[in-house]
Amino acid sequence: MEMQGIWAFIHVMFLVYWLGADLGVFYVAYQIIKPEHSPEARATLLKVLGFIDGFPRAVSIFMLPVGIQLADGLGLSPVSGGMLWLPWIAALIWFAIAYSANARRTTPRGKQLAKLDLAIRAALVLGLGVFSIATFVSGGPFGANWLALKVLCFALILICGIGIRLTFIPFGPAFGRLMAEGSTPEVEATLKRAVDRVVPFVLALWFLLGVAALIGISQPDF
Amino acid sequence: MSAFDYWHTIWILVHVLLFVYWLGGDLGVFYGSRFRNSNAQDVPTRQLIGKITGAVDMAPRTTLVLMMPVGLTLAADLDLSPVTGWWLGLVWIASLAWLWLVWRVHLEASPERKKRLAGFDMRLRWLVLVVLTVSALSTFISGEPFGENWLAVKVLLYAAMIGCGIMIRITIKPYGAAFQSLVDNGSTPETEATIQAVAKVSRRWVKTIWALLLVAAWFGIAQPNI
Repeated sequence: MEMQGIWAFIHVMFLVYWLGADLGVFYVAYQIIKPEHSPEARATLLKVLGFIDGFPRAVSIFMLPVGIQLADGLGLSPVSGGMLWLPWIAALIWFAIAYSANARRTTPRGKQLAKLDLAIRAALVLGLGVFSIATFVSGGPFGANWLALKVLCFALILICGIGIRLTFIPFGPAFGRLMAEGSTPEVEATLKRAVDRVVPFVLALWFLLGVAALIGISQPDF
Repeated sequence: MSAFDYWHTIWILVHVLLFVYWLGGDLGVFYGSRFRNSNAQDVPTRQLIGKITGAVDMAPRTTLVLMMPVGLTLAADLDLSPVTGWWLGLVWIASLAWLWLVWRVHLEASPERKKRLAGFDMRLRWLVLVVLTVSALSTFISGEPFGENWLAVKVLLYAAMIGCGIMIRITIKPYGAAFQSLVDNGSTPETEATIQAVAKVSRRWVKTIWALLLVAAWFGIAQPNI
C-alpha cells in the first residue's frame, strides 16, 4: 500500500508537469508568433518555451513505466514481478533518444534520432492500441477494461504528439529565417500557420489527458 | 456508478486539475522571471517577459482561490466538514467574489485603484489565513470542526501557502518602482541590485509554496490516519 501511494503521487506529479507546464508552452508560443515583438525578444521567448517544454517531453515518456508500476500494484498489469525493470530500461532508452534528437535537432544525427523516436512512438501506438482493444474483446492482457481504456487514451495522446511534431516542422526553419533576415510577411505567415495547425492536436491531447485522469480517479467497472 | 460517486469523481478531477495548473503553471512563471530579471536582455524584452509571466501567473493565482471551495466541497462529500448545504454555497459565492477581485487587481489599469483593490485582497488573505489556521489547530486539539486530522493538515498547509503569498507580496514591494526606473532610465547597478535582491527572496517563498503543495498533495493521496 505504501509503495502504491508513492507511485500514485508520482503519477499525479507527472500529470502536473505535463498538462500544467503545457499551459506555459502554449501561451508563450502564441507570443512568439506576434510580429510586433522584436526578434531578440522572440528568441528569448523560444528559449523559455524550450525549457518549459522539456518537462512534458520527459514526463510523457516516463508516464508509461509509472503507469505499469501502478497497474502492477493493483494486480492488473501483464508486466510484473521480476519483469518490472524492463519498461524502465525501455523508457530510459527512449528518453535518451528523444532527448538527443531534440538537443541536436539541427544536425543530420539529430534528424536520424528524431526519425527513430517517431518510429518508437508509432510502434507504441500500434502495440498499445492492439493490447487495449484485445482487452475489451478477450479480457487480456490488461486486468480491467478501465485500464485498457486509459492505455487507449495514451495511444491516442501519442498520435496527437506525432501530429504536433509533423505539423510543427516548418516552424524551425522559418524561425531561423526570422533571426537571419528579420521579419517578412512570408516568414510571419509560416510561423503563424505552424502554431495554428498545432492547436487542434494540442487541445485534443489536453482533453484526452483529462479523460485519462478521470478514468484513473473513478476506475469504473465496465 | 451512483450519483454520489459520479459527482465525487468530478470534484476530485477538478481538485487534481487545480493542482496541475497551480504547480505546473508556476514552472513557466518561475523560469520566465529569470529572463525578466536578467540585464543580459534588453529592456523591451524584459517588459514583454514581465507581461507574459504576469499572465501565466494568473493560473496559480486563480487555482489557489478556487482550491478552497473545491476542497471544502470534497470534504463535505466525505462528511468531514461542517460547511455543507447553504453554508457551502456561501463559501462558493465568497470565493467567486474573491476570484473576481484577484482578476480585477490583475486587469486594473489605474495604479491608485489597483493599489486599493490589492490592499483589500491582502486583508482578505489575512482573514482566510487566520480562520483556516484556527480551524485546523482546533481540529488537532478537539476534533472539531474537521472530521480527520489529515484534512486539518491540508487546511493548515493551505493557510501556510496563503501566508507565503502574503510574504511574496510584501517582499516584492520595492520591485515595481525598480522595474519602472529600469524602463524610464535604463539599467543601473542600483536598480539591478534591487531587482536581484527582491527576486532572490521571493524565489525562496515560491519554493516554500511548492514544498507545501507537494506535502498537501501527498496528504490528499495517502489520507493517513493521524
